[in-house]
Amino acid sequence: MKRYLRIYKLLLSINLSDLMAYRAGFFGSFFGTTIWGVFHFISIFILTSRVNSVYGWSRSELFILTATFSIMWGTFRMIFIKNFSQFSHTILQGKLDGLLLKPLDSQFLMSVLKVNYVDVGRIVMGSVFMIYVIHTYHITITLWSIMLFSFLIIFSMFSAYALWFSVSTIIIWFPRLSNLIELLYTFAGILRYPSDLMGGFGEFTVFFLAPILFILTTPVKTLIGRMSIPDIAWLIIFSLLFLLFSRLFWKHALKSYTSVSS
Amino acid sequence: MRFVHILLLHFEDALQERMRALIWFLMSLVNPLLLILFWNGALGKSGMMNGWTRTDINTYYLLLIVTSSILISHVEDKIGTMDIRGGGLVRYLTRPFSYFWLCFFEEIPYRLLQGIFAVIGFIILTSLIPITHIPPVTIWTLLILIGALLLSFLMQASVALIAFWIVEVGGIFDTLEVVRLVLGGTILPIILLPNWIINIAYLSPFAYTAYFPITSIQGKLSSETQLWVLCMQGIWIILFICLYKILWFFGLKKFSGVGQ
Repeated sequence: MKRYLRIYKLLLSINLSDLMAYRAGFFGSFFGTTIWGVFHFISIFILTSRVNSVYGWSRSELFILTATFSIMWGTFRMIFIKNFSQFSHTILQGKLDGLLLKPLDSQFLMSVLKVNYVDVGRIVMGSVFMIYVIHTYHITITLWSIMLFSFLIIFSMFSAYALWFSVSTIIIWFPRLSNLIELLYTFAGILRYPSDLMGGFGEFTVFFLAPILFILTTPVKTLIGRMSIPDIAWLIIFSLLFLLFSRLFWKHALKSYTSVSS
Repeated sequence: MRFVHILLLHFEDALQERMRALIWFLMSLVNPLLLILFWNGALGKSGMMNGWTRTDINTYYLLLIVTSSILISHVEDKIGTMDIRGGGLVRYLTRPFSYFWLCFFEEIPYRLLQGIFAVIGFIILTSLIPITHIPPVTIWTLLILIGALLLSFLMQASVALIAFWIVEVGGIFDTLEVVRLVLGGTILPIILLPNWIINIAYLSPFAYTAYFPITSIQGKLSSETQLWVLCMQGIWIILFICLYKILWFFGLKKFSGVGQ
């Protein structure tokens, strides 16, 4: 574990050097990703401009959910997204061979080799917006709720990672389906809405969407004082089980990997 | 006739990559469905907003899935990133065809294939989600739809040409997409937006690529409004043709042949 932390620290520094070498590229990408962050805030402002509440969620609570999405999704993108985006390319071009030969865990290398620093903008923007909403709408936040919120966000990240990695693993069998990852970006949009929203699709759909639904709503509920113990237990258990599944699925998929043109 | 052959050739490409096209279609499906659920929760069963009933909104978003699959072009990445920045433009310049029309006829098969998926999706979804009656498509509506397709393609192609001068164009494309989503009526029908946004949206080209075509299909536009929409589409198409020609003329002199 210590060795992997040391390697990750090294990867952070290499990625930073990479960033400094292509500064124009950084600013272009930073602008692009920040504008999408702004879009999410504009969307929720527009959607709530004519209604006071949706599925029992007030306007301020929906703003908190959007801000949390920005922070969590920004962090997730910063750590993982470049790696998931390269999944298809790595497999299609047979570059996975090189990674498998390295004396490190292949899942680790496929997940965290690249760091997308441009998403720092989203994290900062989400944090500022959250402070603004809490201050403007006089939302009472306790130290305990902040701690629990931060703790649950870690499990939300686990769930999101496990989901993304499991779906990306499918690319081993279908390496040309690179836009599968982009489909997942679109599905991430579900996180911006309260989980109660999905009730409209019926219980059958809720069952299948459960991993996505609880990812963000549960931590936000603890922050705004609507904590639900079963939801918290569900998030923790599910994220751990899903993390285990992603690991086993990757190991299984590697058996089908036949190098270039697999 | 030669463009028909090009069109058919690219149909083969599109059909070969049908799974990719299906995934692109699925992507266009998620957000409108989420917004339908959002408004169903916000308005309740008998709710109304500015004269729009819940079923009107359902119809709008379901038609948005179909129209965005057929009408909204995504050529900016191909032109800006692959051809200009990556240098792929070279192989087109040596061919006896207009680059613009080549790109257009390359794009059409993908629009049609995604459109087929969208229509199938629409038929399935309308059996699950209540919608209002859609009147038969008139010649005016058909002209508005063709205008929207041309305008969307011209707009994306013109903006993509900025890649002749700027290496990192991703930020500009993202900005254009975000503005399109807000002012094109993708988040909410424009008429339900705050007044100041409505005024900006009506002056922008974006409303004429999504909002007006959809409301025209819904039968919400009078003949006078439809004529006005066609005039506005015409003005924007002429403006973007001029912009495209100017950018192409000066940009080509900047193009170094090995990528920008």
